[in-house]
Amino acid sequence: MMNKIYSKYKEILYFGFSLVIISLGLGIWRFFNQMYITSDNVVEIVLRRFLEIIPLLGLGFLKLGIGFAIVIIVRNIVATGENATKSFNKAGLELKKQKMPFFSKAFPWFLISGIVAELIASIVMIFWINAGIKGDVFADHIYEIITVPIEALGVALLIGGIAFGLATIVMNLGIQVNELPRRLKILVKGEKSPELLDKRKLIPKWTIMLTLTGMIVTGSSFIPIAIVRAIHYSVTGLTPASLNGLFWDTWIFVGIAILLFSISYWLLRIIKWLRNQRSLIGETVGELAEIETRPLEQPLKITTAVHSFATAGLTWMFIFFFVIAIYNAFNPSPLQMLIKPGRAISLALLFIGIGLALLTIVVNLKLTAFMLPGSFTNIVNVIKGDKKREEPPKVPDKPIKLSPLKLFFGLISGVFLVILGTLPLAVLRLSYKLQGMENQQWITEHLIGPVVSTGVALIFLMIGLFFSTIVGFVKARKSIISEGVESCVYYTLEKNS
Amino acid sequence: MSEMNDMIQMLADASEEERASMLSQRLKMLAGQPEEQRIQSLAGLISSVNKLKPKKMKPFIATRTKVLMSLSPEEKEALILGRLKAAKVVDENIHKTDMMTTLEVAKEMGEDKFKMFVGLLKQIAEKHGLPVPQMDGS
Repeated sequence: MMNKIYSKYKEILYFGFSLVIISLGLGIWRFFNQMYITSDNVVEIVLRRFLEIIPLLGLGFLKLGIGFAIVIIVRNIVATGENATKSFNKAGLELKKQKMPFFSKAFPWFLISGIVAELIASIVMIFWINAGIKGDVFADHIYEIITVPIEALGVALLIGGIAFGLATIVMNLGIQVNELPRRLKILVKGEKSPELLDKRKLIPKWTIMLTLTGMIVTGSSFIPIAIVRAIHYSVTGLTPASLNGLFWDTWIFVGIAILLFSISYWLLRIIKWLRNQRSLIGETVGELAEIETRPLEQPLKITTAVHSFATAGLTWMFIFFFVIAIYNAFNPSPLQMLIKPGRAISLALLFIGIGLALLTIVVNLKLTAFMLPGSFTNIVNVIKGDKKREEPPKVPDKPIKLSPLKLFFGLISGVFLVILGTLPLAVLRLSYKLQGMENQQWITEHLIGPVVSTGVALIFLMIGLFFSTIVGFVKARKSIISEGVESCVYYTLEKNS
Repeated sequence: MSEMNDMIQMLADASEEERASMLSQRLKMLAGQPEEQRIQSLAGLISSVNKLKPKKMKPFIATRTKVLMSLSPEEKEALILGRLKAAKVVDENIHKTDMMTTLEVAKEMGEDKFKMFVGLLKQIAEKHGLPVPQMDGS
């Protein structure tokens, strides 16, 4: 049942994207409704609440789609290891099963809990709309207090689930990358069973801590303001006019930036393992088949850029948070209009870094697909005593040509939309503010959300499609390794008998 | 079988050059497998190719046939024999469609290559006592 749901990740991605596109249409309607028709009517009441929640629900489904693609990747990597282990066991290579850390089993549940939280927030939204239409101030206020923190919790669980899914890939891939060549060597040379690698060495602790920190900051971001609002309302019976929502709003973005930063580093670790896989298998085949090994191509320059974009994005977010959001919380000023563009720039930098890392992963997977079958053919020939050897594949002159650039350009379009949807509107708001046109400046502000959500949705869709490409390669890798190891074991047993 | 479907879809979506390079490595690996495993792998391969859209299927089979013809005689024999035996494992329609398209693309490769390919099929089928494939794919 769950497997069927996980495999529908592409449909989930497109469903999420369509929710955001519908919200953009409604956002434009709201803009014209406020600008030219009338404000404070039923349409405005409904749209305000709807646009507070539904674009985020759409983004939630997009994140769920990405997460489910990662679940499929993890399951295939795990199955690759299990198949290979079963085959090695037939040859008498007894291998103990490793105990996995908490997050490797928990991350799919983080994803499911995340979307459930977002759906609960959407149901509360229906009551919130109803209270708004009826003019029930108390209910209206209570629903707003409830729904926003639940929404933030959903965001934390979904992005945290993605990050821990990547951590699970890192761990499983790390074990296989290091173990497979060693075990093949032992199988061919007829040595004793190897000691298992210590899995703690495979996962950087600081990245786990960072992921957890990001989840906690994001998930708890709106809880303080909800508590303060609730107390304020119960004591004074009034809805607080201003509680510096922008401050808490920026705090959640700090959490998201930390999570995206940790995701960049999980992706970099995956790139490291994929390169190691090629170099270690290449060396093993070279040693067993007595052929010259070709050195790997130089690491792609874009991989180095991932560090720079991730660091710049996180630093920028911190600067904006500490310099402008905190300052503005104590001294409200027109500077607050710079906060949304500032956050958008930070997210854009982080997403570009993630996009570049995904490009490099696909290049490495393609290069792996070129070299793995030939490597197994050579090992099988060694076991069979056949002198025929396969030449290792040539190192491509420009490996970047193997990357799905269309997806990256799609991601960049999303980044531009995020920035363009924020900067020009911020300038427009500022000009309205300076002209004293308060109403217009708020109307413009309301358009920022749907436009930025559309940009982020496009980014998420492209990231989801990147992972979809990766799913294909991971399944191919599973077939090749499972069949390759099985052949090696078959011919070893045949030779020994 | 699903992972094979994904792999074939990925190869079908790749450029001709990438597809040829990856298929060449993959077919050589299949040729080196134990016979039983090779028959199963080839049955999986033709079933997955059959799931491709027609506009993707023909170019894929064309690349596969070209790659097959470029392999060593031993590899060719192992793969053709495996393919003929896989006919008993897969659905008859899948086998027919695959064989017919293969013969069609072999014909498009030129008269000489077509004759060589058909001759090879007949020779291997007769050598191992298997039915010789007909031009209608049966």
